[in-house]
Amino acid sequence: MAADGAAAALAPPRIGAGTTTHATPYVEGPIRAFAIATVFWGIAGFLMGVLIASQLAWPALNLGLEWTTFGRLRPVHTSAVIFAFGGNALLCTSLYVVQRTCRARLFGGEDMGWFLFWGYQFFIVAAALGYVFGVTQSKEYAEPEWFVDLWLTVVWVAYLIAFGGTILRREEPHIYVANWFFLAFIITVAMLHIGNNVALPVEWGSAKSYVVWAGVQDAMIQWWYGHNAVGFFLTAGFLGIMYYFIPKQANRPVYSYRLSIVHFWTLIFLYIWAGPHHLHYTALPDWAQTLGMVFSVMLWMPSWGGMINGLMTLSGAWDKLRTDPALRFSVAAVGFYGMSTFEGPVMSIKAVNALSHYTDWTIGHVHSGAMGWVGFITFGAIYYLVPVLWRKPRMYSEALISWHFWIATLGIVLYITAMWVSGIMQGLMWRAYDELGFLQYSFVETVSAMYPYYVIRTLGGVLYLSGALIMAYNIWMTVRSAGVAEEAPRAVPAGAVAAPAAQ
Amino acid sequence: MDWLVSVYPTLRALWVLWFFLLFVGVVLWVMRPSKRREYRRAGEIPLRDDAPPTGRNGNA
Repeated sequence: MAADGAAAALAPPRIGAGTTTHATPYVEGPIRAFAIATVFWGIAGFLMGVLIASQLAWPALNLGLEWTTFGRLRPVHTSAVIFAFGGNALLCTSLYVVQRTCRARLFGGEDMGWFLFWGYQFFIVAAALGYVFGVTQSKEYAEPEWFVDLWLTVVWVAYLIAFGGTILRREEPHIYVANWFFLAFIITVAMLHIGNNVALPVEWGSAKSYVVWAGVQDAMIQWWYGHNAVGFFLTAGFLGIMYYFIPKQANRPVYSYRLSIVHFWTLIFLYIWAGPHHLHYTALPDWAQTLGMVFSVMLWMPSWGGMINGLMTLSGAWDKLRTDPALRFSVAAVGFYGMSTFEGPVMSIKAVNALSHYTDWTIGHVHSGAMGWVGFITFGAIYYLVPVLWRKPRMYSEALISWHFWIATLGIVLYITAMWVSGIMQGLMWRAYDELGFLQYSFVETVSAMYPYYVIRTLGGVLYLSGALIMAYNIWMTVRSAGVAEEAPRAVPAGAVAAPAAQ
Repeated sequence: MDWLVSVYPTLRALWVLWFFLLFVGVVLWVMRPSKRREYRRAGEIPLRDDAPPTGRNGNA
């Protein structure tokens, strides 16, 4: 993609000269950049996913090089989709929503927005380079070394200041519920990131560090971080998206504002205790495991309360699903949210976990949440935002959004059904004994039994990636299209053409 | 220590009770009917956010 083409795309949309006094008072340049980064990193992350899924099916694709082994590329995939795709989507939408719903310009203005944008992209690139070259700490979803962690802390504190500052200077007396979810996400992620990454370099100036916590305490803090990365990064933040963009797309207020408040406080309160379910049957004390399980099961309630609230927002407007494929993304996302937040508590029950843990079932569960919920709610928001941010009447092609929707949905279905079958089979094979009490299968037999499911999973990933490429094309054509929103009077071409000559 | 052990089951039950009461309190607080109009207005915030801010809070 040509650099000047990208720069032109980021510039404020050219509107007729007569409309400049009506230009939005909100900061939008960095938000447009975040939207593009969301799509870019999404494709990069999905591509990495397809690559490592293929490596599992066909190990020759590891290429025999240390930089391209599954072990190094797997964190590239997870960080690219969670922190690069998801993180840019959250920054994009939260900064957009907080300004609109508070009726206040972003605290710190354009400069703050651009610092957040470039600061966050720098973090992503620094982290990814570390993974490929082997400069990492062995903490899942927190692989970057201490210096990258420190940089992220700086950017994140700036994010909190920008977001909180905007709320403080709001003209709208009430803080809309989406902003509560976004704020909880920002604050909790700051706390988790710092708590989990308290590490000391082995010597002055060394990139290698070791975390201060040790043994089972370290394991518990790691999964306190890890599960709340799911709870606050991938759930609370994206619920903020749900609470703003579904009402916007359906053009009706959220089903029950009261339920949204109960949803917020119960979700926030329960999620933080659910981490120990990642450590069932380990050295973690039994009472802590049980605590994690109980809180995970209780989480079902707020999760489904939120799902009902999102879905029922459509009540009386279900026909919009037929005509608006972008809304279809958002609503299907809430459906996937309900499904994976049902599956999660079931899997956290110790007896179920004894079968499911360490198997592909977990991978399938994560992906129904990540591709179905996080991915789809993001696509829905992006399809809403692109025409708004670039002042176009609509997306270039509604049909392509529909194609994206069905291809991606098929991809998810292939992915999660393959992982269910493979995961349960794997778990059953691991625990099968013969009549003499010996394990019935060697480990390698379970691996070769996975092969067909790994191929199906890869195919699912290819479909999901194809959908994202269709989206990128659709967005590119939308941004490049000539149409200007706000119908006839303000879009008179003559005014737009005459303006430069008059100056 | 013995005393602590002896009151432990009571405290544990109270802990559950306290959270249950807190939850019921939150629900009652949120559901009180006098807030109906306020919540309806709050729910409509996204639907009337197209008008630009007036700038009286120091917005550019």
